[in-house]
Amino acid sequence: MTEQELKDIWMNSSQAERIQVDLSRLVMDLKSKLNHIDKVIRNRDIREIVAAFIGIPMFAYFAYDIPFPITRIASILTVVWSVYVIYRFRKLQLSRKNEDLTLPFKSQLENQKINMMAQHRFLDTVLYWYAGPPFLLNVAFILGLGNPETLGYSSGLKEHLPFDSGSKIVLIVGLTAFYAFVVWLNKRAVKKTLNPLIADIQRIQDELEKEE
Amino acid sequence: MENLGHQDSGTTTFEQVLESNKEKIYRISRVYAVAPLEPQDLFQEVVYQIWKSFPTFKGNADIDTWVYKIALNVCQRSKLKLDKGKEKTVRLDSMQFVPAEVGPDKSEQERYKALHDCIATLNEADQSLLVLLLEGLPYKQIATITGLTDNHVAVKMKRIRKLLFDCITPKLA
Repeated sequence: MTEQELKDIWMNSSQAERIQVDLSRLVMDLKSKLNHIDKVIRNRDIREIVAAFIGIPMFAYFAYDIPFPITRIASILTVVWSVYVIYRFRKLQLSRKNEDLTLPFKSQLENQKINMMAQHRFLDTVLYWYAGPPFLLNVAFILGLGNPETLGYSSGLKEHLPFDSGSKIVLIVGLTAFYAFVVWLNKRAVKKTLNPLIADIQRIQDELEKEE
Repeated sequence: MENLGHQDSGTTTFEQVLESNKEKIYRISRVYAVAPLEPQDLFQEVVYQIWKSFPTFKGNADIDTWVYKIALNVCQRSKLKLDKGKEKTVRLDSMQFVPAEVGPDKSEQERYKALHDCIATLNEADQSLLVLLLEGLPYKQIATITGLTDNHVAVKMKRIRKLLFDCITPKLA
C-alpha cells in the first residue's frame, strides 16, 4: 500500500453520492437559514435580558412610591444593578458573534478557548454579580419596610407589600432558595458543559503544538 | 448581513466556489460527522458558513486554502458540539444527495472503511493534518491552513504517516 493509493481511496470517497445543488434556489435557502438562526438568537437574547428590563420600571416606581429610606435606596440600587446586568449580557452576546471561521485552525482554537473562558467567568461568578447583589437588595428592600402608618403611607401598592414579620421571613426564605438555585444551575453548567469543552480545546491545542 | 445578496467576491462567485469545492467539503464532512449529525448536515453547515463569510473573502487570496480553513473549523466545532442549541441543522432543500449510479464497488467501500477507521484512531489534531495530506496539499498550504510552521507540519506528518500505515496495512493485507 502506497501513500498515493491511500490518497486515491480518499479522493474516490466523494463518488459515493452525487451532490446536486439547485443554484437558483440555494441563495434563497441560505438567506432563509440565516434569518431563522438570527431569529432564534434574537429571541434567546430577549429572554435573557427581559427580566432585567422589567425590573427597571418596576423598581423605579417602588423608589418613587415607597417612602421608607432603606427600601427606597434598595430600589434605586436594583435599577442600577438591572442596567449593569443588561450591559453584561450584551457584552457576552457581542463577544459570541465575533467568531471568525476563516482563521487558521490553530488561531480558531485559541479564539474558541477565549470565548469559552469568558463564558466560564460569566457563569462561574454569577453569585457576585447576578444572584448576590439582587438578593441582598431584595432583603434590604423587605427589611426596610416599616410601619406604613408612621409615614402616612397609603398607596395602592401597600396591600401587596410584606409589612408584618411573618410575611417578611417567608419571602426572604423563598428568595434565598430561588437565588441559591440560580447559582447552583450556573455552577452545574460550568462543571458539566464548559469545563469539559475547555479541556477538549486545550487537549487539541496541546496535540497540535506537540513536537515529535 | 445586507451584502449577502451579492455573493461575488472579486471575480469569483459563491456558486463557482461551491461547484469547485463541494466534493472536498463532502469528503471532510464524512470524516467529522458524528451521530446524530449526518455528513450531509455537516456539508450544509460548511456551505452555509462559506456563504456567510464570502463577503470577507479577498479575491486575490487562495480560494482552496480559504475553503479548507472554514471546512476544518466548522467540522472541528461540530465535533466539540460547540454549536449545540444554535439550530444549525436546518435542512437546505436546494441541496440533494443522490446515491451515485456507478458508485464505488464493495472492495473500494471496504478500503475506504479501513481508511476511515484508521483516521478515527488518531487524535483530533492529527486527524485534521491527515485529512489535508490525503487531499494532496503541500506542507506549505497545510501550514497556512493549520497555523503551524512548515517544519512543524513536516515533523508531525512523519509520525502521522507511520501511525496510519501501521493501522491500515494489516487491514488491507
